[in-house]
Amino acid sequence: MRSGSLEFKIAKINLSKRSVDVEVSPRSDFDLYLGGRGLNAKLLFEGQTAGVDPFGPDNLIIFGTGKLVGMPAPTAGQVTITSKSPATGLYFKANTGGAWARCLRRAGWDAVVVSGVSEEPVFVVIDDETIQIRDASPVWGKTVRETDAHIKNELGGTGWDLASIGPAGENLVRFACVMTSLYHAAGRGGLGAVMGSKKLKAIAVRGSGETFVADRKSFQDEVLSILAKIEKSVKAKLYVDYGTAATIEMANEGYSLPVMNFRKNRLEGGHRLGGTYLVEKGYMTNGAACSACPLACHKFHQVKEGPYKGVSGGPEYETLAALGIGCCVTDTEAVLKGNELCNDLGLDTISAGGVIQWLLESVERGVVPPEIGEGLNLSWGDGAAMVELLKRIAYRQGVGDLLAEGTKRLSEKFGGDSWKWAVQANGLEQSRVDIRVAKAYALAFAVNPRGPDHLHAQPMTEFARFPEAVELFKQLLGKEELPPATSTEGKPELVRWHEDVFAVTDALGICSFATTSSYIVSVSSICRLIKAGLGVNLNEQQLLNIGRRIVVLERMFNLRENPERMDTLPFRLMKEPISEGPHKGQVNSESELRDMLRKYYRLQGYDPETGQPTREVLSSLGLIPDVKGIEDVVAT
Amino acid sequence: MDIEVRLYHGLNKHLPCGDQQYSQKFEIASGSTAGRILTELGLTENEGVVIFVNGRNVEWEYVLEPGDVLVATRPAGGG
Repeated sequence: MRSGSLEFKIAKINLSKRSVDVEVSPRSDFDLYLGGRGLNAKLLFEGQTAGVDPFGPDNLIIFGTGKLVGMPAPTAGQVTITSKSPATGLYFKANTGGAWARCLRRAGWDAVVVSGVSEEPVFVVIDDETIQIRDASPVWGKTVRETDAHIKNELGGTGWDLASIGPAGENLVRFACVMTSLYHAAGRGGLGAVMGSKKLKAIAVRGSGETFVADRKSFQDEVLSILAKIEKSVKAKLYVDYGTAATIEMANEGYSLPVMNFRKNRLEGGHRLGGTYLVEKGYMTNGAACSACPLACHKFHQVKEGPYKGVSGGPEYETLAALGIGCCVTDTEAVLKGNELCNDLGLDTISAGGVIQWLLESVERGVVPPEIGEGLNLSWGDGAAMVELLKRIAYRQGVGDLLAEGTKRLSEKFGGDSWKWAVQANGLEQSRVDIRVAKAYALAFAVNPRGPDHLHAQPMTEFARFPEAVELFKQLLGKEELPPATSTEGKPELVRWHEDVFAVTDALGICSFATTSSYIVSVSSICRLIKAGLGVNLNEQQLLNIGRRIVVLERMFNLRENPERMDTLPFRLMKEPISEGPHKGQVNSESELRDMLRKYYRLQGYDPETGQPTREVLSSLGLIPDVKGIEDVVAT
Repeated sequence: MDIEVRLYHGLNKHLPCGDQQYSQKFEIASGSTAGRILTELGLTENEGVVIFVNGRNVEWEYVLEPGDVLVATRPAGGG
């Protein structure tokens, strides 16, 4: 079976038994879930029961690619990694680019499911059909770059790509990442720590298979059409020229950039971390694009001399905002060193910035003694302290051992009112968007099964700042006059559409920057790619239904884990209005959120009070009877 | 009246103060719009520019007041 098949070839690796089994899932799984994130969700739901320890042998970690990966479909180079999160204790998926996904597909695999716990450090080698489990003792304790170099040298030859962890994952930091192609992070909820708990240092893969395209001429026509849209897109040009770092200037000047743990919204000198400054001062250069990606948003950065000398991938907006702006650090080179360290140590930059900001505020308010820093200056704006704290977190040294637990557990430990400035919900630190001035984002964050961040639905259209966004906004709301971002009007509808499309995007292995961020690749365009690439006829509504099915299945996982889990937002963003600037007074009140949630639940066919999907919804989506055990989770 | 203009994302090449600068103060005629000032600097309305005045997202026709900070960026997003 090669890439043209609509079945899924799955490698099931048990590290406790050191066994490898091969399973082929039926074509119906493609029809219902497409693959990637969708298939992962089903495999995770059926593959483990409620209550498993995220660090235990029964927690699966699943790597799944989409059926368009390996084809020259624009941006189709993504892999979704899914597991139960050690940060939240809930469902978690993270998506990353680079070349790993393409290598896996070319090796003939759609997904890799890892269970068990190895007694000794190991890495997995996938070389086309062959899968081996090898000793990773020589690289245990090494950084991502050191690991990459060592394993590639050991394997020899060319064409290898690695998904690996750094010391943060080994040390079970609850926000450790899995890194692919050195610099691409599957970040947020601690998937790197799940790998670390299994003593799994890396999965190296290479593949030599050919990609089967059903109708090459039609496929090429659609690709050319997408490329023509990219050529005209202002947003795409910005990705190419500055990467996501360009968002810093816009958010800072628009007073929507979280500063000092979300207490202010603009930082004087913040432009020193913006894409314009990084490029013009020679810090940031064009990097290696992910497989098949013409947007090429991924950059490299370099600091040529001094204490922060170094080279790495990125940085992205969220990193600059979390490690820099949020901590009031405008020392460009210190923030770039922070980014390099996070890549090498395998740390999620958003949560790392979140815990550091919690610490700085807690010291400022006298909840945590300053001596805890053991010589570090724990006040706002100290770049050297921020850099040192990252190392201590990854190696769990001193205060770093506490920070490695995340803000929810930190605030529970230190007590007082410190939970009020732990800017997290359901155990996940919020990403760097001030949702008090963006109500679709607020709703999207609240209903995100991961917790409050932007990679479940990114309703960029609510800002209506570029032609494709304006057009979509009008289409979805059926209006010429568009409500502002601070209005809740129409936002449940926007979120629903973005959730569905985001899920389909992930399931096929394409990048959300092409779909729900820039709106270059439309839903109809995805249908044409599927038809030409895979020979399957799906209309737009059928495709959106698949997205909905994935979103609901993920929600059901969380319902099974914790029926008390609420769709909510961080306390600070619901109780503390913006204190100054043009958006002074804006807040996400509980009543406002509840109102949006009710409307959203009704749209979904959920119980409008509890937000639980009903039996009717599960049946209409085919989750009943397809997913084993799901019926038991529905309220009777 | 005096205003400050800040330009980013390559738009800053239109500032008379020179390369790799992002901000410049100008004396402008009363009643000037954001669009007029940006046009005089060489920007055009159809090149996908996002405009802020004192942090608020405004349209091309916005009438400027003394002391305003006028910002033009490209429509960034994602991270």
